[in-house]
Amino acid sequence: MKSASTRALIALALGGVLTLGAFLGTFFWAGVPDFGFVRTAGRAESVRYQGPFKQEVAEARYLQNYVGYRAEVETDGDIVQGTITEASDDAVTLDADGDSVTIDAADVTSAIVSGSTYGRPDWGQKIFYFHVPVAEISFIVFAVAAFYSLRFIMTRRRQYDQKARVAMEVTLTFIMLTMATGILWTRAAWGVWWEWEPRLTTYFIMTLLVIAYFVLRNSVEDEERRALYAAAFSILGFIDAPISFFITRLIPSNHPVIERGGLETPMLVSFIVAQIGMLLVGYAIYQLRMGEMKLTDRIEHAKTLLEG
Amino acid sequence: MDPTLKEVYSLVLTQWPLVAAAYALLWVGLMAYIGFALKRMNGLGKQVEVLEAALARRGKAE
Repeated sequence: MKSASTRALIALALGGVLTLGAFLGTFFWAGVPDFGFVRTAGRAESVRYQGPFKQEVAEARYLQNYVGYRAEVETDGDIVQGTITEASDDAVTLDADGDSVTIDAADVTSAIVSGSTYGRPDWGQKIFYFHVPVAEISFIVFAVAAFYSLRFIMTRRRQYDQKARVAMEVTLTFIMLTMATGILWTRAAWGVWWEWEPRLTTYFIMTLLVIAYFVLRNSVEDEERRALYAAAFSILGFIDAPISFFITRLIPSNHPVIERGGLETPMLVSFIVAQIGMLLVGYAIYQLRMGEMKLTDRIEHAKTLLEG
Repeated sequence: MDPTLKEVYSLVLTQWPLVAAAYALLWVGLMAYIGFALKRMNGLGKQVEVLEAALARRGKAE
């Protein structure tokens, strides 16, 4: 028992140091990538500068969105160039080399606005460094639970049922962390709290399956039947894990996929360190819970001896 | 800061509360889980010591 808790504490200490390192790397070393673009009226030197843009505006009323931008407004036979200073549904006012020119919206035949395009800094991507590792751990520990469930069905030894149960507990913990961080990332990146797209849907199904595992365990009284049903359910439930993991590569999905060479070195190093750190933390939690289970067994055993 | 860059980087600020919340939930969740597990183990360890000492005393008495 002592060795299990010692292993847990060592893993916890190492995992803690690595996750802390990854955290510092994430915020103080890795850069902020671009996610889409943003348009501005002005121009400034920046690594995010992507170039100028020119866009035709279909209707004069849309010029309200471009106050401060340079524009070329064409009326019947006349072109006015300048900076839009004011715009409404009825009229647009331009500053043309110091002269203020107001044009009725009804007279505008076409308009072209221009400005600069910049990469949109995606600060929300910082969530990725820990969201992905916790999600990966949830898949790995679910696989461990399915493995021990299979071992239980083959051998009917109680220790495998205990290991599978603890692994499922750890899976549930990491699933909850994945869901919490994922929902916040979805809000930051997509502007919504949830979307029924393939990855999120299959992962949600996995969450329900893991919760159902514990509902099943609590609903069967006979210990052996409980362990057997739970083991079978865990193996069947695990089928969803590879589906959820690979689905973004198999069918169209909005969920990002990490591609080879897609991360700069500081990002990649921070991400790998976070993965190793989280793996150690997951292992530590598993060992801690196993240690707890073994202590409970010893207490029950000692109580039986004292009563007998 | 240049007004154009200020406009570009102001987008970062809109995401800041969500990033902070994600990290807070992650660390608080993990710390709480580990903290409770360690506390429970400590309590169980003490129980084991008491029970095994009682067993040892009974073994000697017999």
